[in-house]
Amino acid sequence: MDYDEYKNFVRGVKKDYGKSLGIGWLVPSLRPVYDVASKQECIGWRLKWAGPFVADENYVCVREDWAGTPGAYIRRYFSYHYGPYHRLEGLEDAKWKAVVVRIDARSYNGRGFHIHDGRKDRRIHQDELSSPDLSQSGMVDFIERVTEVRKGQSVTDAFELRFK
Amino acid sequence: MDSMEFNEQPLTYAEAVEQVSKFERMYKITSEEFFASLDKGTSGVDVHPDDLYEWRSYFAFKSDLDARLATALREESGEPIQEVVYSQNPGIHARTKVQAVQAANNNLALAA
Repeated sequence: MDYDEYKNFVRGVKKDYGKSLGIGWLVPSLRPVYDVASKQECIGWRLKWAGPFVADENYVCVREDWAGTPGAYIRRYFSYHYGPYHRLEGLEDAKWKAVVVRIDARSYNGRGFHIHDGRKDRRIHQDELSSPDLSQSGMVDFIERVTEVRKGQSVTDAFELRFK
Repeated sequence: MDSMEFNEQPLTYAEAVEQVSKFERMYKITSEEFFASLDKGTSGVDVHPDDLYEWRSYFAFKSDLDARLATALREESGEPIQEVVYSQNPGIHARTKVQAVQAANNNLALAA
């Protein structure tokens, strides 16, 4: 997926997972990075995109970094967050203080990706799970599962967490 | 597909450098040290997860751009990029190892 294809993907997410789910997506911050030498070649991009729910003061925030490798662009880092917010202004840049569910593609203590279940300090690491493979989590899948959480399912059930 | 607005301001090298420096100052550790210790599980620095994401992201893009710049300069000059060694003595200019060897040779030639 190149930069233009990615933009189309984001458009598709807004169309398919926007109003129908009650998400009022804000303007995505999609920042391409160009090679300093050639100034033409796009070597990757960063997405930060927040979508507050209309019905209550909760929001989804998705962040992805894509980097160019020989032959393809790959998603290098990501973070998907769902939880309450205090104010809409600068939502995609706001530091989260409370969380309902969040998947971080960050390794703490060499333990792989993790998912937060309800609390900031409650991290379920990949090495505690037999499934799913958190590194394969996607934006669309996250949004769909968040809608299940909003319907009352637990994070464990909605995200089909299987503990070892 | 409906039209959709994006904020598409490119991320510049200067901004990536500035952001990396900001986090290094804030947490009083170099990026190289911090991420190496984080991966090993030996980091004692408590970084907010959002800061962590941003720091890692900027550092990765800065590193990508550094590598590409080094490659471009190497291809242009035909020589590997040399690390610049900074002198601790005032009045002595920084120079690469190649430049230092050349300077030493010039001094020998002048002395002969």
